[in-house]
Amino acid sequence: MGAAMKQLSLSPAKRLARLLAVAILALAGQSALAAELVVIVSAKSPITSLRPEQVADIFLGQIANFPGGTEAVALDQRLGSPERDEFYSKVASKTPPLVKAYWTKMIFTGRGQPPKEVGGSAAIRKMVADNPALIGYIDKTALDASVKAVLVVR
Amino acid sequence: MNFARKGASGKRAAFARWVGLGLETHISLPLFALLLLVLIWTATTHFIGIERVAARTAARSASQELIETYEAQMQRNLGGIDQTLKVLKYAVELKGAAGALPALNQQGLLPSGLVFVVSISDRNGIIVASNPASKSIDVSAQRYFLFHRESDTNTPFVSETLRDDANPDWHLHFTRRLNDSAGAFAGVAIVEVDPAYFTSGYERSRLGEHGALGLYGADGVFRSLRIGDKVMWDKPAPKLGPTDGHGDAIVSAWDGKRRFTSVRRLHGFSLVALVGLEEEESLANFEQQRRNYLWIAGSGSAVLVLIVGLVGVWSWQLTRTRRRIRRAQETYAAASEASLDAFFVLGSVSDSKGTIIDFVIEATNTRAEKLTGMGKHALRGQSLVKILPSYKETGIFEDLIKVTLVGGVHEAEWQGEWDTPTGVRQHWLHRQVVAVEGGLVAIVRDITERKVTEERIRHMAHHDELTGLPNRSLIRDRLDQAILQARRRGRCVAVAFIDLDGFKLVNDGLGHNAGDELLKIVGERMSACVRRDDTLGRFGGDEFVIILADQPDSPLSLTPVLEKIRQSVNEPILLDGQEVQVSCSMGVVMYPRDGDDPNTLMMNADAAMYRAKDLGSNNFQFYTREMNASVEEKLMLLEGLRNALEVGQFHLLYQPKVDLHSGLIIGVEALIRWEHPEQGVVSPLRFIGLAEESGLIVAIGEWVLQTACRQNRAWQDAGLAPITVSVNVSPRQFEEKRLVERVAQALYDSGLDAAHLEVEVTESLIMRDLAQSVDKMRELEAMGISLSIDDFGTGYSSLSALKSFPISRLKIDKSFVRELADNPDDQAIAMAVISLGHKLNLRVIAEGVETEQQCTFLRDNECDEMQGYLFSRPVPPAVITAMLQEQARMQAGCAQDGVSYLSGSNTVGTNVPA
Repeated sequence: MGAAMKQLSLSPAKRLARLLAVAILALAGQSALAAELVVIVSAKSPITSLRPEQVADIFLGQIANFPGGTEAVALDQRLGSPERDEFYSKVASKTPPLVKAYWTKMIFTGRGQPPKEVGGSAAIRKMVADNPALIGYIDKTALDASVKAVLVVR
Repeated sequence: MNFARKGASGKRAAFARWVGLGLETHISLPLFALLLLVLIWTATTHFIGIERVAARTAARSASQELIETYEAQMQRNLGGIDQTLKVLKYAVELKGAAGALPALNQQGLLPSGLVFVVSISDRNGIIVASNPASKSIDVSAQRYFLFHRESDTNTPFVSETLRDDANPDWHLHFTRRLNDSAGAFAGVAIVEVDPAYFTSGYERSRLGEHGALGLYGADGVFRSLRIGDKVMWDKPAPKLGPTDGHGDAIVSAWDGKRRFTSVRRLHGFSLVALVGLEEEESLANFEQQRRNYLWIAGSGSAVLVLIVGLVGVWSWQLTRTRRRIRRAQETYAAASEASLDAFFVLGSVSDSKGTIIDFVIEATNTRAEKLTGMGKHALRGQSLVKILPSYKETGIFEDLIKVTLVGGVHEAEWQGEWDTPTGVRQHWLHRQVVAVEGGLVAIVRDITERKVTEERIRHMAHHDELTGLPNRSLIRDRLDQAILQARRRGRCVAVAFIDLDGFKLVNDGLGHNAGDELLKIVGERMSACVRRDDTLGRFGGDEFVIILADQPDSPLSLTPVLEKIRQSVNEPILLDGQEVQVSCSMGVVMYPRDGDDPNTLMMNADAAMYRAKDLGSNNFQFYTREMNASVEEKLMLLEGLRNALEVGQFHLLYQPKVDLHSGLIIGVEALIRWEHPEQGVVSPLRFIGLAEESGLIVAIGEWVLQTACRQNRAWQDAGLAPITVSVNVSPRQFEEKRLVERVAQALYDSGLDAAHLEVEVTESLIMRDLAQSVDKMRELEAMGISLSIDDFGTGYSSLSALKSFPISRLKIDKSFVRELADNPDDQAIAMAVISLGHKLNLRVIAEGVETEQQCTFLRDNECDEMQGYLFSRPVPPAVITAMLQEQARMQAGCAQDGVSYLSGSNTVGTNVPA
C-alpha cells in the first residue's frame, strides 16, 4: 500500500503546469514503458493459457471459474496505476471511466464487486503464486517461476 | 273511392320505388360499401382504443414494476452505504480517526475505491483520512457538517450533489455524526459517491431513450437524475398529489415530457426514488400498431372504395348501356311498328361446317303480321320455309346467303306466294335485305298496288281512255313490230284506216256523251271482228286503225274480215233510247306492196280511206286499185251467200255409196249445191271456202245437217231400206264448240236415228287440233253416229294418231283412185290403205271411182265400198228414192232367182234422169 499522497493547494496556473508535466511524463512513461503485461496464475494452477476474452470476463466479474471449473478470483493493481489502465484498455477495451461506469452499475445492481486491489506487480505475483485460484496481471519483468503467464497482453 | 286506401297504396308504391331504386346495384353497392367503411373504422378505432388502454396500462405496470425494482436496489444500496457509515463510526470509535480506515481496509470492509470515497472529518471539519487517499480539505462550511454538528440524530444525512477541492467530480455525500466517548460531536463519517451511481441501473431496454430514473430529496431537488444517457442533478422534482406516483402519465417538470411516473419513498433516508417511462416511447409500439391499424384500415378503405367505385362505375355503365339498349330497342320497335313496311329480323342457321342451311325468323313487326297473316309469336322461331314454302327453290335462298356473306344492301322484286291460315296469298313484293351480325334484316313492302298502278299508267300511256283501245303510240309500235316480223317471215301486213261516217252528226245532234258512247260501242263491235293477234286501235277523234299481221299476200283473204267490220259498224246503235246508224269508210294498205315503212303505209291508207269516202262511204277501198276489182266480186258472192241461206238457194244432192261385193247401195253422201239467180250454179269449191272464211259455214252446215237428216228420215218413212247419210263437216264447223249440240239437234228435229248418220271429216282437220277433235268425235260416236276420214292420205297425219280416232270408215282419196289402173304406186297405196283399214277394223271406201278397171282392182283387193261416177253422180233425193225402190224390187226378184244384182254393167246409172 502506497503512502497517501498529500496534495497541497496550488494556484490554478501552477496546477495546470503541473498537470501538463505529469501528462507529458505519463506519456513518456507510457512509451518508455511500452511495458508488456502478462496475465499470470499460480504455477500450481492447471491452467496453461487463456484467451483475452476469458481473462476480461474473469476480471469483469462475468465468470467466476476458469475453464475447467476451478474457482477464479481476480486481483487488481492499484487504482490509477498505469499497469491497471493498460490492462483494462488492452484486454477489456475499456478506458478507466468506462471501467468505473461498469463497476458502478455492477455494484449498484448488486451483480458483483470489483477485484480486490492488491498493489504492485510484486505483491500480485506473491499472492498469485500462493493461490491457484488467483489470477492477476503483472509487468513481464516481474515474472518468475512461481507463476506462469497464461496470456501476454497486447 | 277509398281515399285512405289510395293514399296508403300510393305510399306503398313510393316505398316500393325507393326500395327498387335502392336495390339497383349502383346505389346499393356504395351504401353497402359505406356501411363496410363505417364498420371498418369503428372496429379500427375500437381496437386502437383498446390497444391504447392496454398500452397505457402496460406502461403503467411497467413503470410500477421498475419502481419496485429500483426501490429494492436503492434500499439495498442505501442500506449498504448506511452500513458502511455505521461501520466507519464504529471503527473510528475503536481505532480512532487515523487508524480506522486502514483497519477496515485490511478487513475488506471498505467499499470499492473505484466507486466510493470514504473519508472521516474531525470535529473541526478537516478531513483526516480518506480512501482512496486524497488531500485533506476543510469541510466545515458544508451543510452536512453543520447539520451534524448542530443535531445528534441517529440518521444519515444526504447532501445535495456537490463538489469539493478533494475531488474534481461531483459527488453525493452520505454522512453520519461521529460521537466521542462522551457523546459529543467528534466529527463526520462521509461516504461519497458519484450521483450516477444511483442511476447506473438504467437499462435502455426497460426505460427507453428518454426514460427517467432518479432520486430526489425532501427539498424537491433531484440528487441524481438520469434521462437516457445523461446524468444530471439539481433538477426540480415533480410535485405529486397523494394519489399520484403510481405510474400515471404526468409532465416531467425538468424537460416537459410526459412520463409514466412512479415514485417510492425510501425509508431511512429522506429520499424518493422515481421512475418515469416516457409516454412517447412507451407508447411507441402502440403508436406503431395504431399506425399499422390505421394504415390497414386506410388501405382497406381505399381498396374498398376503389373496388366499389369501379363496380359502381361498371354497374352504372351497365345500367346506362342497358338503358341505351332499351332505348334503342324501343326506338326500333317504334320505328318498325310505325313503318308501313314489314320487318323481318332473320337469324342464319349454320350446320357444323359453317355453311348456312336455313334462316329463322327472330323478330317481326305488326306489319309483318298483317302481311303473313300470322301473329308475331307464331312467326318467331319459325324457319323461313313457313312463310315462303318454296324459297329455297326460287332463288331467294341463294340471294339471302349472298347478302349474308357479302354484306351490303340488296333489293329485289318478286311475286311471292305463301300460305296463310286464310289461304294462299300471292302479291308483288319488294324486299330490301341488309346483312347484320348473325343474320339479316329484311324489309318487305307489298307493291301489288304499285304494280297495278304502274300497269294502269302504262296502259293509259298506250291506250285510249274512252274505248280502251291502243292509242296512236301503241299502234305505231305494233305496226313497227308487225312489219319487222313480216319482213323476217316473208309475209304481209295489212293496215286499215277506218273513219266513221256521220259521227259528227251524232256528236252535234245528241251531244258529246252520246258521241263517246257511240265510239265505245263501235270500238267494241270492231274488236269482236278481229283476231287476238291483230291490233285495233283508236287513232283519235272518230278514226280507228286495224293492223292485221302475218297475212298472206292476198287481198281476198282480207275481204271477209273487212266486210264483217263494215257490217258490224253499220248495225244500228241504241243511244239514250235513240236509234242511230253510222257507217265507216276504210282505207286498206298492205306491206310490202303499198309501202315498206310505216309512214308510207299510213299515208297511203289515209289516201285509200278518202277514196272510200269519195266513193260514197260505207265501203272499203284498197290502195292498190286492182285489188279492189277482185274484192268486189268476192264481196258480191259473199253477199249472195249470206242471202242464199235465207232465200233457200241451197239444195242437197246425194251420191250413192255401194258395197263392192253385193253391189247394194249402203249409203249416200250429202253434197251441197248453190243456185245463184244471176251466176247460176256456183261450185262448192268457190263458195265453201268463202263460207268458211266468213263463218257462214256454221249456219250452212247446220242447214245441211238438218236437211240430210230429214231427207234420210223421209226415205225411211217412205218404207225404203235404211241407209246412212253422210255429211261433210268442215274444220271450221268442228272448231265451233256447239257442233255436237247442233248434230244432236238435227237428229232430234228430224227424228233420224243416229246410226243412220255419218260424219265425214278430212284428215287435215283432225291433225289441226287433235285432242279437241278426238273429244268431239268421241262424243259423236257415243251418240251412235259413225265417223269416217275423208280424203285419206292427202294430208299429214300420224299413223299413231289414227289408232286413237273413233272412226269406222276410211275414204281413199280420189287422187289415188284416178290412176289405179296404170300407176303402180297408187295401186300400192290403195292396197296398203285397204290393208291398214282392215287391220284396224275399219271399212274402206274408194272415192271417185269412174272406170270399170278401177272397180275391178278395188274389188280384187278387197276394198269394201266405192263411190263415184261409175255408179252414179250426185243426184237429187227423188232419184235416190227411185234407186232404192228399184234395188228393193231387184232384191226381192233376185231372192227368188238367186242371182246377184251386180253383174258388171252400169246401166242403172244411166236410167236415172239427170
